[in-house]
Amino acid sequence: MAACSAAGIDIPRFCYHQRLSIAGNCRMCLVEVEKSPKPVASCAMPAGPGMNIKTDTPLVKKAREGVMEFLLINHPLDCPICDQGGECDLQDQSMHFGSDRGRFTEMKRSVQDKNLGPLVKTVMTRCIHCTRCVRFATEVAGVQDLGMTGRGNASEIGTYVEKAMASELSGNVIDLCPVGALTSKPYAFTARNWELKSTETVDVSDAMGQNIRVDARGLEVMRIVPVQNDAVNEEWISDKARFQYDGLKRQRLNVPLVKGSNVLEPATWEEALVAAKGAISKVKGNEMSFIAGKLADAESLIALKDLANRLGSGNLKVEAGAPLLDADVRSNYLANSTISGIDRADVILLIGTNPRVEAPVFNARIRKTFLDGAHVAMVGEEVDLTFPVENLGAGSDALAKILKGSPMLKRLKEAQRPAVIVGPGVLNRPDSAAVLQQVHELVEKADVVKDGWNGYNVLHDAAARVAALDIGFMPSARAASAPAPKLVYLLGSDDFDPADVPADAFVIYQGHHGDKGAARADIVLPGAAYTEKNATFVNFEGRTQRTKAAVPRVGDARNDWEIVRALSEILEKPLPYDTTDQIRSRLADVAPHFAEVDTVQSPMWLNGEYFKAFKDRAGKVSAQAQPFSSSVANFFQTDVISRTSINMAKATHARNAIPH
Amino acid sequence: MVRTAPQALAQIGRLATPAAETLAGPVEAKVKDFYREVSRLLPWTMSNYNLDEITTLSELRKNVSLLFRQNDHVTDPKVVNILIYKGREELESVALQHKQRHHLIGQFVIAPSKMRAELHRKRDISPFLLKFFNNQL
Repeated sequence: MAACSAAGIDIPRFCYHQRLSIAGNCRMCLVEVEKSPKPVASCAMPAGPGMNIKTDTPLVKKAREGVMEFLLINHPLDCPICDQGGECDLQDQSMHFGSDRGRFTEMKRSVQDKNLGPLVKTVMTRCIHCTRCVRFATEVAGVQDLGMTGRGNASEIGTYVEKAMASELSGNVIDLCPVGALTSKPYAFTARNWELKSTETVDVSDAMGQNIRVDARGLEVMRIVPVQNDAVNEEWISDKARFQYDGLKRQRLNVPLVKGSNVLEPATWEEALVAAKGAISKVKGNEMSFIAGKLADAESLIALKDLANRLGSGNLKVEAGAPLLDADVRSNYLANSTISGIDRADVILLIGTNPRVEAPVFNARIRKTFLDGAHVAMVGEEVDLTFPVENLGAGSDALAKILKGSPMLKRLKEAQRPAVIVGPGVLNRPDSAAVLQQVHELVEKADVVKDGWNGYNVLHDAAARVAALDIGFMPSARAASAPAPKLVYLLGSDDFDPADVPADAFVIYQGHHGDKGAARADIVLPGAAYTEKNATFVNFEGRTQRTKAAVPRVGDARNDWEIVRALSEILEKPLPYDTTDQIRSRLADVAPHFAEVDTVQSPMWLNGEYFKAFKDRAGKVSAQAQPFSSSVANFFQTDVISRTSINMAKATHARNAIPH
Repeated sequence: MVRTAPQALAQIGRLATPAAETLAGPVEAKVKDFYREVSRLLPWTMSNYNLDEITTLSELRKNVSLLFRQNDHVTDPKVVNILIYKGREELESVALQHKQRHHLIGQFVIAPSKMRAELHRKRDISPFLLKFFNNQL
């Protein structure tokens, strides 16, 4: 089949999928091979030299028509009420190979529907037993939940016992299913695919920058599906990226709010900005602090940084993460091997990270590398990564043990392409400087960085983090001596450290959801969510990607960087950019890779110079004993959008109900 | 109040003469006359179009005078005459009920309040900020 598609001939198929193993059970891809007595299934037949393949002979057509007739014997005629209708492989192919009349007079068989949890809807009668979902679950997602039971006419796909699918990637079986047996539960009966307007954009639910397509009808996001990008997410996306969109409809901030007597009251933009000016002009520059949230885009980060500097404040911060990383050397905070480069690694050491919840699609990629023969070990709390991992210990003492000389160190040293992945479990710790020094020492000792291969990787857990570091949205040198802030500007920050927002501080919140930040705020400026703006994000391998607006903003909300720009003019310190192009050229001035969209510029590796500088700067800190634990406690609810999403709440509930 | 309507109509019929004939004479007085004429019709307009639910008489008067003041930079008598003529046309269509309630609300309640908001804004506002406030970015 691969040979035929390389020659530009499309062969109909149901069970064959490029990224899954070959099953050869749908028989739709039959072709005629010269000197072969019978038609052969092209998906399972290796192409040989001198082979003559015929794909459009009467014999082939007859064979496919026969297969189609058998498939349709037990397939219900419910296309008008089927969610797959209009994008169904079986529907399309039956237009080519289906007969215009049936010869089948008996009853069609019916199969009981299975409950796969709150995300995937099943109508098992429609199933044609291609087993793509079973193969996906076992091979890619790494959960043994789905399987085939029974034989012949009685065979069924299902979970062996009644339970939800315990995978962060379960939604992908919806795309894989060639018929309407597995469809999206939240999307069920809400829209038809031909009435949707599609926009290809980027997901922000984790730091991976998964490529997605947002399908909208009018003002509403109806569903989100993956877009193929082999360098990032292949063609999978996590359940959070796929199903959190209903959070975009709830608890939105749609009008500026100013605190009157104890409660926030609706105001016009002018009133809100003038009120913000009143508060800002009362405090000194150094008494202001600016905290960016997990979903902040690069444009608003640079605008806010420029504004803060003009106001004389260097107290910039990104919430919950990596307080001790600095922006001097880019290779120090990126996944230098790149996401697709991980495929080539032969030994992988995970330190303080649980990629299964921090970036599930990346975890599937590591799993693929493992299946290709790589050895994967981890330092951190014991977690199930869906594949066997050698656990070397939980905390920094385990790292010390590796450093002293252990089989793992030897293994890393001997490896051709060793990879060390440091995660938020290390970066978020108060003693991260000490642990990072250990990691750096390990990287040096084990020759993780060599000619043509950089195996030092940092895995982040928030979409805004890398862009913030690239821009230098971080405390300035003077910030350490700053007094307690009297005014805090939250750029979509809801998971801020309460210590950063003193009780008597005046709080300005800019963001798109009413959550902890807006509840604490004195002034609320409504911004746009990621489906509503054209914005730049950088994923954890340093790839610059842009979201595209799929739906209009809600109510009187504005684009985030434009809010900062407008505020700067009210404050009589206007920022020198008026259009998106201008602010992007400002971004490119600060960091050139912002101009190179969809590419990774491999950062410079200064031969360990940076590690020495880090050691000098951090000084002597001692590592504490507690184990490295992931920053993501509940995969389904990590940011404001997923917290307001009912789908994600249901998924959390279903996951907690599964006995471990 | 309603009784004033036929009287007003009679007045309008008398005064709505072609612009060319009224060219002579000082325009300031004519503007004042016309403004008074409009003001006299306002109470009737309020009750006849049920505008009490939307606004008050003094508010409406303020709005009308704002609309007059929108043209206070005009000095050319010819242009002033034309403006009075056009204004009288408007007045006539209000008095004869050729306009409907939503026309009045849009023209004499909502539009002036928007104008007032613009006036309150700083004069040297940048094009960016103007677009930002009007959600046109």
